[in-house]
Amino acid sequence: MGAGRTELAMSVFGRSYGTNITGTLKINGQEITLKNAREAINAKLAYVTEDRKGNGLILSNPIRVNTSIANMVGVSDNGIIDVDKEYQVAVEYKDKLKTKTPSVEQNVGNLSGGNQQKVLLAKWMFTDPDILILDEPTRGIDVGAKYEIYCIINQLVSEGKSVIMISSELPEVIGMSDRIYIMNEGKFVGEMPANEATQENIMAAIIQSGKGE
Amino acid sequence: MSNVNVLAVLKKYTMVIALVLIVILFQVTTQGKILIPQNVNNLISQNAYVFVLAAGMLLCILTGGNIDLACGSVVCFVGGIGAVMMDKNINVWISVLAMLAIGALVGVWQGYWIAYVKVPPFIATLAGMYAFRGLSNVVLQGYTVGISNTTFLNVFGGGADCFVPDFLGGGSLNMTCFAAGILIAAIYVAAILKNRISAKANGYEVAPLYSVIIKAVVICAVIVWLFYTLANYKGIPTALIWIAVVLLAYAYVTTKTTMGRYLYAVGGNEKATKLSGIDPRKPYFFAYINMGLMSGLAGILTVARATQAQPTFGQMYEMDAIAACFIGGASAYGGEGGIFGVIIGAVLMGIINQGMSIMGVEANWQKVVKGLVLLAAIIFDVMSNKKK
Repeated sequence: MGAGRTELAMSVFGRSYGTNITGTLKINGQEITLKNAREAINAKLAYVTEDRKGNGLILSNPIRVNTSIANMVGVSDNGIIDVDKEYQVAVEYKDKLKTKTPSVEQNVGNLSGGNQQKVLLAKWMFTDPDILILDEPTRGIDVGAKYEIYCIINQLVSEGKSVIMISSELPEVIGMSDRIYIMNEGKFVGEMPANEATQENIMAAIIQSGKGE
Repeated sequence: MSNVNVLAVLKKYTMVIALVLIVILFQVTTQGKILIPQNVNNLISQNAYVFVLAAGMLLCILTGGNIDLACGSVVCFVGGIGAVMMDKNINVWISVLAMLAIGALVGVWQGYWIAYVKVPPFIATLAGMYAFRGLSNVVLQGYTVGISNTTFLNVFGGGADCFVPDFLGGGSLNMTCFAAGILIAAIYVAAILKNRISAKANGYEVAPLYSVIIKAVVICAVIVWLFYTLANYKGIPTALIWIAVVLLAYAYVTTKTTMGRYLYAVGGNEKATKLSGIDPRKPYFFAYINMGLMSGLAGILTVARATQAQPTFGQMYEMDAIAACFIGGASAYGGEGGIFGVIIGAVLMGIINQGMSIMGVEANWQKVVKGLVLLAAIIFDVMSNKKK
């Protein structure tokens, strides 16, 4: 899109886009510096990438491995993997997210887009984050899987997690959000609660920002 | 069993099937000489360095098809230092530890440039290949240094007496060796049973019973046959113990440890691995340190077998190790492969070498055949990746 949404989100997530950035980051009012992705995960952040094949999943590895890769401490003891536990975790998330697969030993590359997205979500849910940044979570997946992803997001919110959803589909944004920030050309150009948001005034905010220059 | 299953099994065990066919071919063309006890023993002793180097090389290849061109020179360098140390009457165990430590240090040196400075592995290790070859000549001053320490030779598979002694006294058949084979097969079966029972108790899906039985019977038969054959010669060559230790250790590292997992992850998708909070530099560093350590051990085995160190030792060893990995199914793109494949690849290379030598094929033609086998294995890898 060129609005700078992914760049912003990845920069928040432990300077993963590039380290040459400025600005302060606060979580619950506390200023915090995150130098890399590991520190961001430890600060209970999660970033679910829009590019699930390039930045998200290891396609040549099975679901089991992809589910635990961001939280190996959770399935290992002193660097030794507890394969039984890892298997149980993968099955647990497979059932929870209704991932359609014959087995968690299936390579992720063999799954459909929607099911890959669920594995990616499972991987980040297993890190037990407080704040999830979902970058275009429904891009390129079928309608049924989209609906299931929405249900998972609502479930996460009801568990008390914060979800930041990045999307360019206005009906999705208006339907899912509590508060909407609008970005254009790398800057915030508008903020509104969802009950005031319509497609017209979101578009108006973007167009006005363009005129100002 | 459906057609899809048959195809999947065939694909998984292509190289095993190729190995069996090649053994049968040589069995016919050499009138059975390839599998006589002395030749089987030589196959293991002569190729010990391939197994050891290939295990280290596998880790490097897993990180993304990266290779170590320097390991042949490092073998010579480490072997040369050890030979000179023992020639100056330094204690054999201190010498051995020094050789392993120097190997690991070489790994640290190369790993640092590759992992932390991002020098392409091909270039970094090419530099090492020249530098350590030169240093080997410096250490040995261009001469051959003999090794006369019998402890060293016996323990690391050189000289006339490098076999595990027969404690059980079985006459012409080495009973210790045969008993060890039976014991290893029994341990293997017990381990499979234990796994299967615990998997069933936890409600995991398990492979169908017939396939497990077929696999177990084949592997046990191979183990018992191998040890029976060795027992008919002089028993267990000490080099085999080192091979087994290395292969078991690396099988464990690659499948059961988080570092092993990171090696596969970095090779499979480095960007995703980094975004999952894993520092991708660590697996690279780890792989090259291990490669250095294995070069050290291979250096020990090489000079022990030759009972001397020469400045020309270890030439093309890196190529044998790389070929064994790729023939054994390691992906040239990284992220795929395993120790079992390395064993198959190394044995296949060794059998081809030995079979052709027995047949009296000229050395130059042997190289042509080896090259074609390697090419065929890589073409297979590329084609099967394309279909995905």
